[in-house]
Amino acid sequence: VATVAWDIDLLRFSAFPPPSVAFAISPLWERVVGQAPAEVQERPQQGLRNEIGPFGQDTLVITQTLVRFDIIFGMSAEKAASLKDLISLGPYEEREKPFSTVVRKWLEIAPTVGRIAFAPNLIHGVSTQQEGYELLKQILPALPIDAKNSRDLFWQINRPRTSKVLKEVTINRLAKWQMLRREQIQVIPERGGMYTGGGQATYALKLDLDIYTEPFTPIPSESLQSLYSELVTAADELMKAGDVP
Amino acid sequence: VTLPKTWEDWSESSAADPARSIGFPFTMRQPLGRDDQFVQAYPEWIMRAAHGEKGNEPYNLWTVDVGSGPEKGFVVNTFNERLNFVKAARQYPEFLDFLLLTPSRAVAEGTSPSKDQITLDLLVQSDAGRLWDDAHAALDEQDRIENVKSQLDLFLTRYGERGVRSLSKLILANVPSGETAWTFLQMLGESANLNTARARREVLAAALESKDAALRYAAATALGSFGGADAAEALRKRLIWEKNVSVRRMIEAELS
Repeated sequence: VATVAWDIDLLRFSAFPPPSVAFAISPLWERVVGQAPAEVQERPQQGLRNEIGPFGQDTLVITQTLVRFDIIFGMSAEKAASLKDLISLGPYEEREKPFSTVVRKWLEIAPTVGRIAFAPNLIHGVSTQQEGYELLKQILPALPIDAKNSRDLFWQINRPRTSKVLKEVTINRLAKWQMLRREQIQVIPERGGMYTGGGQATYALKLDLDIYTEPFTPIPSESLQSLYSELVTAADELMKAGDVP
Repeated sequence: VTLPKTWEDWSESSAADPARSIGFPFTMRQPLGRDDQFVQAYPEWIMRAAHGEKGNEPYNLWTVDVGSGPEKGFVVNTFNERLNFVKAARQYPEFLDFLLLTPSRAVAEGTSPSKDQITLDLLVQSDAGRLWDDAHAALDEQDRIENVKSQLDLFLTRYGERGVRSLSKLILANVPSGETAWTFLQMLGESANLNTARARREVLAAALESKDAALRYAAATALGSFGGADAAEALRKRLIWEKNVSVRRMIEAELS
């Protein structure tokens, strides 16, 4: 299997309260990041709080609602606008760790949760469409891909496994594999038109993972750290080994 | 899942929570019958939102590898594009028309609650808070606690599972827990309200997995009062992990 060095498009960690339970909403950013957020958006009546701030060169968003909690690591608008090539947050191998440190700090203080999820969105630049499909052929060995004459591939599959931490829990390993083409589109609004071909198209493999626990039931707090490690390991394996049952 | 019916509904939800309300990252495909308009208008709106009305600056988009024509689509997947997408949706209401014509499940995800729902939730929260305060004030007087139990029964009859969920927030969030939370767990375990039985048991099971040992102890007692196979199963599962001697003993006593 080809080794693909994945870059991060987005990292997300999510937690859900157990059935019939609501999360309480409180300031969290400072407790898990160590400094005050740059911005707080709050809608008490709707039960929503967003805390947003810089995280390294990029942006971290902590979103709380009564029924869901998210930590999202994404690119700041300024940085994305300044990039000419592939837009990414850098190598997954390097950037996942600081993100997971924040997640683990939250897990230390987390209320009872019913489900957790780790969802990295990844990207890997390639030179040509054919090169991309050659790679896909290797990391999706079950698919009959003809690298020269394949287009529009979108492969989504869940390869669930039983958790090694909690035997009654299933780790769902949902993966979406596809090929992207990036091209510059020039728009001239006053003429109501759009022209493509302003620059050379670039290509990338895209892998969106959603690794999450099932069933939806209270998770012992003592197991949360190990369970999160298991989700990260499952993501690592899919990135390295491709789509293997 | 409810599709937003109006621009205002959708705008409200996306303003509050852009990342979730439209389920990023997602792929927008061109709605049938509006091919040219969509392909031209989508990047134009995004670009205007990003750069104002400057107009002729090139804008980079990820396009899906689906060729051209009616199958043309766009992947909205970068953080930057997400922000611009929401800006565009706010500035150009006709943008929503295209979205609603697009059979994209993403648009439907995570829309905000309706005003009626919010009003009801606020009422339930307010009543739950009052009940909590009454219970706290009545802790040392058995007669008054009986009165709170009657109030809880009325509360559960009136609000059902929504009421239980509202109480769960008060019980589980106040850590380290206190006597009020323990009292509520006990009352939830003993209540005869059948319509909320499942929800009450689920809250007790959640409290049994709390990091707060005193809350776990109270939850074990309450699950014992609640009874039944599901409550026993929750106790058995907890016993595998439980290290606190007092809580262990209580669970074992309830299971015996």
